[in-house]
Amino acid sequence: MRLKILLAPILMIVIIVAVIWFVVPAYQGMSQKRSELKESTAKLEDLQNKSKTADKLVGDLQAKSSEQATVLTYLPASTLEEQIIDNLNYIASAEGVSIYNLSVKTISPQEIAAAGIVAANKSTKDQSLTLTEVSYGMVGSYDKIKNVLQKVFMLKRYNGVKSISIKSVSSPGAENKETPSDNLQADVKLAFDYLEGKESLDNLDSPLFTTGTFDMKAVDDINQLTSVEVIKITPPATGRANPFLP
Amino acid sequence: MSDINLTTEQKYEKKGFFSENLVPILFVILVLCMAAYGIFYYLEGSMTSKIDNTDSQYDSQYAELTTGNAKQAVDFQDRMDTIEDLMKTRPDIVKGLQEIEKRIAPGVYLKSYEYNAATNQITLVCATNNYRSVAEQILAFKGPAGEQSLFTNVTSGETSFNLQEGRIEFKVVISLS
Repeated sequence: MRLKILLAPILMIVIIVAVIWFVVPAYQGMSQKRSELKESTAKLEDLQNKSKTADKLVGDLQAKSSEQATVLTYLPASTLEEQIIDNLNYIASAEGVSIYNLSVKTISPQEIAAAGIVAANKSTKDQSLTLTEVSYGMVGSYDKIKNVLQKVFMLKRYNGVKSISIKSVSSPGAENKETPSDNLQADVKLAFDYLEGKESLDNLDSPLFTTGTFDMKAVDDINQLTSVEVIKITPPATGRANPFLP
Repeated sequence: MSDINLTTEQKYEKKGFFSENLVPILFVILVLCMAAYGIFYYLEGSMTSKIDNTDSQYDSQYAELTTGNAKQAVDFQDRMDTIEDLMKTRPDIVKGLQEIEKRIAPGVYLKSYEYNAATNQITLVCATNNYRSVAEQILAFKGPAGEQSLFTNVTSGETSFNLQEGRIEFKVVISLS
């Protein structure tokens, strides 16, 4: 009889304990997992959408091979020193200007940071932009030097002037020092930056995955603002028994 | 003799449904609680495995996407964005020379020209025969007041006399826009 009387309150206590300690935490745990699942599914769906967009972009890229070549020529993925030397020499020769002391030096972003150098025209958008400093001297008339500078500026490979120094040079044996000569000497320092290619993507935050189309304004700018084609150098016939002989 | 009522007649004969069935109801509630716990526990486990499955699917697809062909597309766009930035800040040296050509005064000629991209300034050393030409040249480089020009600021004033050539030399520093 006593047991019967006590059974109801005991049951009530058991129910309350069960609800507080088991049922409610289990419900909360389930709710949390439900929201986590929702989140994970949304993330996966977003990734799948980005994957589809990426496939479309890769397809578009294959169709834009000439634009890709233009962009890669203008801002290559490596220094291509041979191309710089050959093109500068060609432009100067075509104008009848003699060039000397041509040097190409690549400065990595780490070296730039260590030296505290602020590269001329350096984009802060991408840290992997590598500065290639090209310096050379040339001797010629004002018009010819100006034409060389103009053609280098119009070259379909990015270059930015870091510094230029032009001064008149008196011809050897010139008797009348008072007469200014048109024989000028120019020392030019240019930045032929390049952008290393990506080995993998750090993240998928690029707006490209949202828009799904390429912004081709840069290609239009290259075509409109530059006109001097980059000469592609071909490897010569090589091989000699004694490399020390000319 | 006192009157003792020994009757066994129940005073509260009419009990309510709830009070009569309290214990079975509580048993049912307890069973329901246990069932709810079991269901919630099962659902949580099932969702955890679904989350794990989704996450591993995400990881594999993410790795595929970041190392696959998508990087070419992103690289192409990044390259174009960088080109646009570079083109905007690219100084046109020849324009500066052409502007100097336009503004050179009679009787004055350049002895040297220096351009520095870090300061975006041109430093000229000019030569002439008289101070009137020096003043005219400085004025010509400055241009009319309020004029929109490539030359944003012109400073000068330092002159020297070159005995060997018999000419006045003066320095002009021009800031470009």
